[in-house]
Amino acid sequence: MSSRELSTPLVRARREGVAIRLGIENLARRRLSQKVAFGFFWLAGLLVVAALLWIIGYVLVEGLQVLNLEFLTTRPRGGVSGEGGISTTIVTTLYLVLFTLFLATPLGVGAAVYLTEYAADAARRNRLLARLIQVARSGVEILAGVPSIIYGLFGFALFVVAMNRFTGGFSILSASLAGACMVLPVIIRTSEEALLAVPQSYREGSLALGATRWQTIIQVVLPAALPGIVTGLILSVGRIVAETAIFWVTIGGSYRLPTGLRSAGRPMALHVYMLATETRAFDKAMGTAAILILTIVILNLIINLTSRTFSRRMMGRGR
Amino acid sequence: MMNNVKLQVRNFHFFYGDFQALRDITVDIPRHQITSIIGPSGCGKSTFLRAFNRMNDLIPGTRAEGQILMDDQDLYSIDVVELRKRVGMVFQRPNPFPKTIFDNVAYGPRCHGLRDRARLTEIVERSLRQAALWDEVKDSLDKSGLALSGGQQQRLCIARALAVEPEVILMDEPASALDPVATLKIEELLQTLKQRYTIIIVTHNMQQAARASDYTIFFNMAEDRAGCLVEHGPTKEIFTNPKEKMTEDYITGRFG
Amino acid sequence: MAEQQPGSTPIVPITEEGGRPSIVTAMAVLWTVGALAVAALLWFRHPETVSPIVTLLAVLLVAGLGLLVGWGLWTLKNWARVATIGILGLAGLYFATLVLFDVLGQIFGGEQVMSPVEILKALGPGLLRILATGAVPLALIYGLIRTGAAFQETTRERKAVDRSVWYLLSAAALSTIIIVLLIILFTGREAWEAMTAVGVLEMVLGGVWRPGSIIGTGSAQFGMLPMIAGSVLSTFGAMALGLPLSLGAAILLTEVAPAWVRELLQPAIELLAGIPSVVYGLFGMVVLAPLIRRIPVQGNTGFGLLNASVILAIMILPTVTNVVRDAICAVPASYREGSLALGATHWQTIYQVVLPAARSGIVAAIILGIGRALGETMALIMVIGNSIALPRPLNDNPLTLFLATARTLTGNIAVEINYATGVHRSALFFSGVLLFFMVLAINSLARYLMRERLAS
Repeated sequence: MSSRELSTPLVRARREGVAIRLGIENLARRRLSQKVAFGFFWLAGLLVVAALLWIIGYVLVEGLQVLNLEFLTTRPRGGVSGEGGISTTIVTTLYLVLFTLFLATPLGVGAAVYLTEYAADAARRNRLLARLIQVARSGVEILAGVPSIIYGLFGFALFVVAMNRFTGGFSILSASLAGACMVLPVIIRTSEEALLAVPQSYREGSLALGATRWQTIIQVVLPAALPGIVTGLILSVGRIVAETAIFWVTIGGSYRLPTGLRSAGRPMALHVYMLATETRAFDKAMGTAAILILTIVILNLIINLTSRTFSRRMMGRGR
Repeated sequence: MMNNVKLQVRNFHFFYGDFQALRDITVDIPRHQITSIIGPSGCGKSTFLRAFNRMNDLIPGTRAEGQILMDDQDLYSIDVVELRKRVGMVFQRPNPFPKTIFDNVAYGPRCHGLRDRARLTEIVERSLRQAALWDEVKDSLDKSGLALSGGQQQRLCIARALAVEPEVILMDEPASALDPVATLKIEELLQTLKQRYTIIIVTHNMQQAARASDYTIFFNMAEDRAGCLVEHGPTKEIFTNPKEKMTEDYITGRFG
Repeated sequence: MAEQQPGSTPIVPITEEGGRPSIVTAMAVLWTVGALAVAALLWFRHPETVSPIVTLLAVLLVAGLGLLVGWGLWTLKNWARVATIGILGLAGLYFATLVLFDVLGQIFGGEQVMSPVEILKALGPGLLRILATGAVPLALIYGLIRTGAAFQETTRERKAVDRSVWYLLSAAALSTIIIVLLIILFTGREAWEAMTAVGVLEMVLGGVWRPGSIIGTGSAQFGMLPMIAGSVLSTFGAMALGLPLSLGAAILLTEVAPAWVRELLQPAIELLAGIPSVVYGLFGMVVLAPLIRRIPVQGNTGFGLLNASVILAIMILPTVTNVVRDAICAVPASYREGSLALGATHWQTIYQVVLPAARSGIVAAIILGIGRALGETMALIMVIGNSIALPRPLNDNPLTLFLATARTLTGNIAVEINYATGVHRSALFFSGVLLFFMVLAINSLARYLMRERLAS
């Protein structure tokens, strides 16, 4: 058709009529492609759940067979067939978790409190401070992305070698120091989130009564943010229990019972690795892995519960 | 002059960064009376109220010029923490802490150093009585403050403010978030409170201002959106015989 | 109404009755005596290796602090009370932990099997010991809290506390950047030897990694190209397998699935994120390797790039899925509503409106996934074979490249660091520094993209 014909109202109506008819016809086609696409998405979701169940299921089924009291309370005896249990690894893991949290929590929560409560005022008052605070914030982002092996290398260079006299070389102390650096960004991020979720009206109400900033934080803001902060701590525990590369180069790997912070040790995840690669005792590796999986599942459950009480408190229905 | 005036505002200007929110305010706030600040939205009433306890200092980039004197002392020369003990504030939305009723009221005195349990109990009871809440909560002081109704929460916040024994009480639309019955209770409360305290309230509700206050200040917005003082005087005069046409227009509802 | 003088007078009048509780007097005396005793101990029994000046400083510090806190308690200052409670708490915690580990050592000492009865028999007195150790500090703390009414503080003191807390907390905030600097400093220092002895270009582009034990001679070579190839190939494989899966799961979560499926799928993904990497590695070794070995190709061991790609795909899934999910959720509802109102199907809306709008977030997710894949270590060591040569296809089919074994940059470090010395070790540190900056660049790019999206 010539361009003049294309523009007359009659032609336009005819064209639109054709379009409507076409629309109805290709609706079936569009519906079909939606079914296909959505089918693929459901498949993806199914695969994810299947992968999870397969991995956890396999490890639990194989590993739980090995679990008995002897396995848990006797110590590894080494050797190519991996004799013994995992008692000392349990103690080492506990030591590691407790001490790492002991180091990282005041530092992380303190930093988060500063960044949310004090930083805005400080940045306003002083240009240099504002720059430093910006840098500190990027620091948190950078640390969050550093791979675990790099933390291990750093820990090795600084804590194991350079600070040898203080830490005792390969030791729980060195490992905890490195581990604290690793979980610091996790604690800072979750604590910041928790603190920011506390309503500003609480702070205003407190300040209007003549409380200082610190009194407001300690008596109103921190208690209100506590569930969120605890969630962050539990996430850190999960991280410490699950990580291996960082401890592979800082904690030594000795399977003896640690007698203090300066003794070497072997946490459970590292034990799984060493059993799998240095011995033929895959069953014992599965057993240890099963305990690790159970620990992670329980920690995740606790996190789900605490974050639910957290949101309920913030809605104001706390009693 | 000294005895009747609690606060003197002299040529007070206020800026949010470059934007002038208040221009050249000069007015006296009478002692032991309820002063209401009225005016259309956005004309700086809340900003002006917050100048009295320097809550504006919390907002970055703000600047004040001029003087506000309380009993001949410049507000900006008194330590701000002390100032907020002497000038208390009740907010528009009730904001009790997620603590027990007792801990809410005792919070202020505890912050200022009082830890004697007996004295705290005394102060809590006295403040709750003054806020007309004691009879309703005296058996449940360990329940959460958040479990009260809206009107009760607001009276709890009033009791909390009274517990630090201020001289002036600032209220930013104290009843706007409440139902009419609760509102009336608060207004009755104000009448008893004014015998011991100087009260300044900001209100959108002109009937409330006419009913409840003794002195009225009328603010309006200039073309450049700065808040200006149009007229002030005893409430009866302002509402029956305003001197400025703008005041009369606002009161009769021709704008705002 | 109280008449106030600004500054140093207490806000609340001091009670005339009461005065100083006996427990406070006792503690103040304890502080003073204790401080002097510790000071004397330090002075007269200091190890010869420490210089007398340092000892003197330490003595003065300890004595000074102890006397200061003691005086503070005597004059009923609140900061002294708080400080005492803090120190008592820490001391109690310390001693209780010592006892805890002693008890644990008895139970888990592990020389012989412990029956449940024996465990309980050890636990009982153990718990009692812990309680006993903690009881003394707890009682003192309780006493100090109960007598709190006697302590006063002025506004000036409260503001001083506020001020010192400010300094402490700002130091905590700055610690993050200090740690970053320390990481760069210490790993860089260790890497320097290799950077000068072998040369950066030789290491990054060299194709042969044969450290040997001979330092500095020509026969030791530190070419990392095979390792870089291993990292890149495994990451690529992980992306190829994992990206469609992650995208599909994310779209399922945000657009398609009903609420109950979301409630199940989201925690499942969180759980996947928490599984230790060694467990993934173990799974790859025990389950995947035999499966892959079934592929009838000469030289196929079941370990290698394919195994690594599958494992890595599952490991990066949570990261990528969560970021894509956030990006899709951030698309305004008005876009969707507009499209649906024009008669488009749900899928058309997703494909033509939502996904393009979320594009920068999706790209950021991909980049973050790459960063995460590059940083993974232990799981890959266990499944990738760890051969030092550049990975090559096993036969004429180029796809069999993925059946070849390889070694990643991260795996290289982990496997060799414990016995490497000299230039060898320094070269490993260099690869660590390289990795650090690579991942840093990748993550910064991703963050930049995510912020761009927020800004627009």
